[in-house]
Amino acid sequence: MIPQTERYREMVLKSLNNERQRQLAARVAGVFKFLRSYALQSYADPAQVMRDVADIRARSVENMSELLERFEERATAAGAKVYWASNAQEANQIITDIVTAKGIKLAVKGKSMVSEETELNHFLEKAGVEVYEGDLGEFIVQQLHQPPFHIVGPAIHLSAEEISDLFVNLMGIEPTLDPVALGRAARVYLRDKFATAGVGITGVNVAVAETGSICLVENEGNIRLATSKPPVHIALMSIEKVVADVGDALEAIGLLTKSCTGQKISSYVSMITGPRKDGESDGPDELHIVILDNGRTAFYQDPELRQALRCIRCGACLGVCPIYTRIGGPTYGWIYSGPMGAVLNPLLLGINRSQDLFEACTQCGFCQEVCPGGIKHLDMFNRYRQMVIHGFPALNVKKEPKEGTRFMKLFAWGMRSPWRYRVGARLGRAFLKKYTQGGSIKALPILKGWFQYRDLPAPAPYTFREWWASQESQKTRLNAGKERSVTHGQ
Amino acid sequence: MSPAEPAAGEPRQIAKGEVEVFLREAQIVSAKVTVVPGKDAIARGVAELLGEKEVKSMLVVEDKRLDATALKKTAKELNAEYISTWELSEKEYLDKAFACDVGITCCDWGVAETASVVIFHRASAPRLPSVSPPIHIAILYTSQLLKTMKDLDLVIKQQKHMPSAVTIISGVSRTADILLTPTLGMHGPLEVGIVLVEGSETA
Repeated sequence: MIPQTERYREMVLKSLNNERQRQLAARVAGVFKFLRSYALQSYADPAQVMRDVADIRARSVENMSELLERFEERATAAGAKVYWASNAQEANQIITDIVTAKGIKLAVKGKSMVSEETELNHFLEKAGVEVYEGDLGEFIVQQLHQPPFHIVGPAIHLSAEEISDLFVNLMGIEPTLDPVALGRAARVYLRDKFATAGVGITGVNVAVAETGSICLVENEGNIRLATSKPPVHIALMSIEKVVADVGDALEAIGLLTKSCTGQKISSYVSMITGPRKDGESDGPDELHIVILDNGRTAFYQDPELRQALRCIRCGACLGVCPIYTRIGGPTYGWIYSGPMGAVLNPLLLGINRSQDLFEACTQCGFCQEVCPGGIKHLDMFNRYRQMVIHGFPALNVKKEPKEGTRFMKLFAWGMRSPWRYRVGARLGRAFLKKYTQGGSIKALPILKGWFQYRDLPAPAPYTFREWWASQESQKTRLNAGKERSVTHGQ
Repeated sequence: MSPAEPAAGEPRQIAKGEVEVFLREAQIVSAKVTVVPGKDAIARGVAELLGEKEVKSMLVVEDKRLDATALKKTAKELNAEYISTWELSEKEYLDKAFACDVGITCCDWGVAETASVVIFHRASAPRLPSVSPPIHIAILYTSQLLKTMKDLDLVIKQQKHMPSAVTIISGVSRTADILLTPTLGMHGPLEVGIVLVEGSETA
């Protein structure tokens, strides 16, 4: 998917006019939100587990370089080959070289966000390798050449008719609107691919430093097939996936599946350590693990920004975001959407080009309440805003003059002293009254962007201070006249 | 913190048992469980789980924890071909794994809180029989039942060498990728049966 986060504003307007997409985004988010809150009840103390996992993620990110070195050492000792890729191009090249050197023509893939990030499929296909996504939703959007709609349900936006039409053309099945029958058709169609593929390519949910293992979480069984039958397994992971030990991995996975699909645990968790050993009759002969940086170490240098790496891609933040639930995933212009996208896309693609994503945030804070990684989204967004206003050369963030910056500076100055506030309010009201027409203000010579989508109500006939003063003086008058006071509520 | 929880710094004991929890959770993840009194009754449990299903072939990972002779008899009664993984060449095995109707495997551990069965894959425990056939039947002893994933972590920590793969299986393969409709059975087994054997696998 070609990143186009700079088109966010334009795409938001389009999405808001797309009734079906709006309804879907809200429905999907509502279902996942409900399932998550239900699943969390299975913990004796959900809040404590949230804190524990946030702590695991924080520790893992803080100790990342040591953990990665240990992971490399242990994985290599177990017989895996570990590669370091500094960017998407390098990762794709490493993987394509492994595949083409063996003359492999057919690859089966497990759903992996990092491979979406590097656009691996495209790269492999250019090298003449046929790639099949194994996850049902991912397979459907791949065949339709569409980007995934939702991180958990990539094809959730498509109707049964659309999927049936696709399968009729692709597999020659009888048309059907039954989701179960469509799933079965895909099972039959992809079975042969799993059985004959030369390589299985997967992501990594968690990498374990202590044992050199990679953990893969799934429900469909496609990853298990892709890591059991083909003679070669290639796993692509980003650097932040590593944790210290199996205990940390299992605890994080437990919260991942609950936050993601509302399952206590997914149907399958595979913990893979090296290729198959002597005497084993299945499993790959070779395991290659490609560790991708792709811009992460650049922002890792900043202690506040590195918390973005605590994200475990569960998607819980999507379900609770008032922005996401109204516009849906594709609007975000890249593979990561919702609050997750508003945190990650600016750092991975560039803050200037992605600024509308975090500028759109309403600061309600629901995302950080549900985040298993303990990411403080609001602090991140405010930091990004500051970076744009002041510039941040370390990450190539260009200073951009913002409409309203001067006004906000003046406002802040005025608010810092009671008399400046009073004078300011008086002047401000006089100014606003000048532009009032028929009970509202439709435009001002300043803050033009703000008035693009909304009007401001006309200022009230008097201020609160004026009202209070009049009440006080009335009371004084009443008391002075010794009139009988009226009491209420008796 | 529950009273059973150790104080900080104290080694945690591996907690076992909780058959009722396992049975309840198994229902939630759509795994059918039949409880049998001992190793001798495993074949009966398998027959019970397969019921009236039309089964043409049965791929069995033979193991001292199951009674192969009795299982062969069950296969015969069901008119199903009995295939032992150990009697096949690697190529034959890989072909059969994708062609057979039922895969029967033993397990290393079970986890009650999630109704999981855990397989440590090694030369004696291949990977495909529990994922490629449409039906997977797992043989699990009550002595192998752990309470929580934390206990599984402790068990894994005791391994001198990590197996090439550890698989935690919790129910059938599933998806909700089309219209959010829950669909049981995707690329992995459409049905999972567990024969829960009372007693110890080492007895």
